[in-house]
Amino acid sequence: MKTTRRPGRSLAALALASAAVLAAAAVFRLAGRGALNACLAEPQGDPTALQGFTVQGTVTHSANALTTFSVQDGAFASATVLDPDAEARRADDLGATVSWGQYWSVPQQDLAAVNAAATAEGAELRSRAERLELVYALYLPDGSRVSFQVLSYAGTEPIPVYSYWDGSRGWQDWGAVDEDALPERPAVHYEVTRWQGSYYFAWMESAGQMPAGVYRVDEALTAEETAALRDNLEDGADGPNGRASASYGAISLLYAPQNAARVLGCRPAGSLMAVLYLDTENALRLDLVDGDGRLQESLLLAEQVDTETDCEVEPLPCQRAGEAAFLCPDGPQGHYAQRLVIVRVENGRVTKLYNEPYAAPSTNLAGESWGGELCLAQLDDTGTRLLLVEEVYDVWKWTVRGYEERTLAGSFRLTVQDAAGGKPHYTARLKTDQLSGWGWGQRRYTLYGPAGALTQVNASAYVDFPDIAE
Amino acid sequence: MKRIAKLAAWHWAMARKPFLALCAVFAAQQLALLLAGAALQQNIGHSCATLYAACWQTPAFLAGLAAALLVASAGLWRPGAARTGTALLTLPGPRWHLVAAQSALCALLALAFTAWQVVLYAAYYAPVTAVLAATAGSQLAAPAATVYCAQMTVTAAVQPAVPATTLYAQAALLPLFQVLAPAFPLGWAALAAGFVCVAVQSGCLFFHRGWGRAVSAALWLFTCGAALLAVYAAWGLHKYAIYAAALFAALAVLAAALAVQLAWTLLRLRRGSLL
Repeated sequence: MKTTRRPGRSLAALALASAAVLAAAAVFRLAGRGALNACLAEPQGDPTALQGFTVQGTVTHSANALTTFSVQDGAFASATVLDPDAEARRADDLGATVSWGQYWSVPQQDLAAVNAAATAEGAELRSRAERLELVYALYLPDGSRVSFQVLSYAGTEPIPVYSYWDGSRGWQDWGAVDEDALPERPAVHYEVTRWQGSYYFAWMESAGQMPAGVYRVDEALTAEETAALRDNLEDGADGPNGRASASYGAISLLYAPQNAARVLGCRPAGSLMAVLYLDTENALRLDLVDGDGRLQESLLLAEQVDTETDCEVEPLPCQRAGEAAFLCPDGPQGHYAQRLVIVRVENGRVTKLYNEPYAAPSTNLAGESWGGELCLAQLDDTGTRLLLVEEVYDVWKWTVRGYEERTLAGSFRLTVQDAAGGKPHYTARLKTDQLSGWGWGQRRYTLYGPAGALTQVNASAYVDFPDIAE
Repeated sequence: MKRIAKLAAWHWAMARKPFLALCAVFAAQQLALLLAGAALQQNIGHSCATLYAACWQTPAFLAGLAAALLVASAGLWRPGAARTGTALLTLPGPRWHLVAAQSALCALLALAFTAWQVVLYAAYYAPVTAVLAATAGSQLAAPAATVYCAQMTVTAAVQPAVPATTLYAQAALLPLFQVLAPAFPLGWAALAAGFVCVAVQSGCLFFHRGWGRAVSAALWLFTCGAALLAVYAAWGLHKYAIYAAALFAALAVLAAALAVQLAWTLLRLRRGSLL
């Protein structure tokens, strides 16, 4: 055969064809990335209604791509970066989560005595402590952390404590044998906000030395600094040395509202900090304080709030300078009633206040809706129009092996309407996941390899509306 | 260079049939598994990309790639290999040309097999997607009249259409595609380094006999692992600015293993004690 006689020719053809296919694949991936862009679909109404709003968002695709989208000067824009590097992912990191660590532990100054009185019981150490302190560690979005004492507890009798040996970390900190006998741990908000170069967080209810209010993180340690601190504690220590529950960094109280039963959240609004709280008569109030914690304005938002609900507040992203938005509990109309509050501050004064009941979207663009979630709310430049970005879901129902199943696919509905209410001027579906995120196959988690390369597929994309204005 | 190309072509003549058979078997198993998987109820909601992963096609591709590397040396391990070896050693010219030609052929067949997978994925996208859609369509339930969740209300009697997908989306979602077509230079560099090292190791493998081949195979496997580590470490360095040490370690291991294998193979070739 000819090919047998001239194997070099067929080998060269194979080489050329393979190179061409692989080059085409590489170009295809790069050139087609626009297909991952977010877009506004099914628009209804006047698109010029978007004028005066500022929206920014990021989509982290499991296709190892990062899409950004924005509404600026009435125009929608989107762009996608493939294989985003650490720098490109910085925008995505703005939405990094906050976490808390909570420890009942023996105070450092009592450790020596408690350790000395310890007896071994199997693999555990047992002892008794005169008092325990409750320490909370707050892990901030930038990777730093602060740890502070919340309250100290001394029972009528010494408190039984125990410790166990962890092969890699030595003796674990003393913990209470019966934690039910101790005071309840105060609940926390999983939201922090950045303002004037510092992190702030709302402390929900008064506990121990900490009144309910807004606190500023004055000093936070990096992970390396914390590790060094703990290593120092370990030196020469025999038995539990309190390294996990050590206090470090510093916080200070910015503002504690008078008569506050529960502080619900805080958000910066220009030169002021908006502090949302329930007073002792269940009225919903918003106080605005300056950087020194001085009260500038106090607004009554609702006379009576339904405290039967969990009173959770969603502080919405800050995307317009000088504007803070909250989705608050409302009432007493019943469970799930919500109130949308937007406050705008200019020159140290409140210039706009939107304070109306909010109903989660009960209709979808197709199919049924599944409790939509408000992601962003904003007033336009004049304060007369309201922009809402709500997550809505398409729902499919399946019957598989005799069982009815529902699967969801999320998208966002963007609505512009008069602040006074009425028919929307403009609605559109903000599609952020062009990769058909639906169905059973999409339920599985994204699995990453040892270095962050994908090893498993999940078509759902994570969408974030970051804070971009302090 | 011309001699190396001629030697590679000569080996290709002997490796062509096994390589084509490998490609055919791989294509057949992939089509069969993907179509069968697409027709299963339990795979409703899968897309072409997720089904590819669910049907173990990523490890199948890696196994096929390894087989392609071994098949490239068919002239050295097929029946009559001893005669081939004797003939090789009597050829005029430097002995390292033998290794270079064999390594070049290994690299080329590995590239060809990778390209074949790309072609297959593009070719199978339409039929697999069609079967997936048909399976999903047959299982769409009638809309429920009663809804039990307090937060959910029925507002339409018609279910939304199953969203359409595209070849680009399904290719972009495929982790294998992301690794093989990285959008950052370091990814390409790590991929090329790993690829070249594995190809050269494969090229050397069948110049050894007996225990020598076993040791050479161990070096080859070790190199494959280090190449994978280098590719992952490059991703980690790019995405998270970490794993730099892992990348340098992997590259050092690749270079060391390559140097040992090459020196050893060339030494034995010079002594003419091979095959």
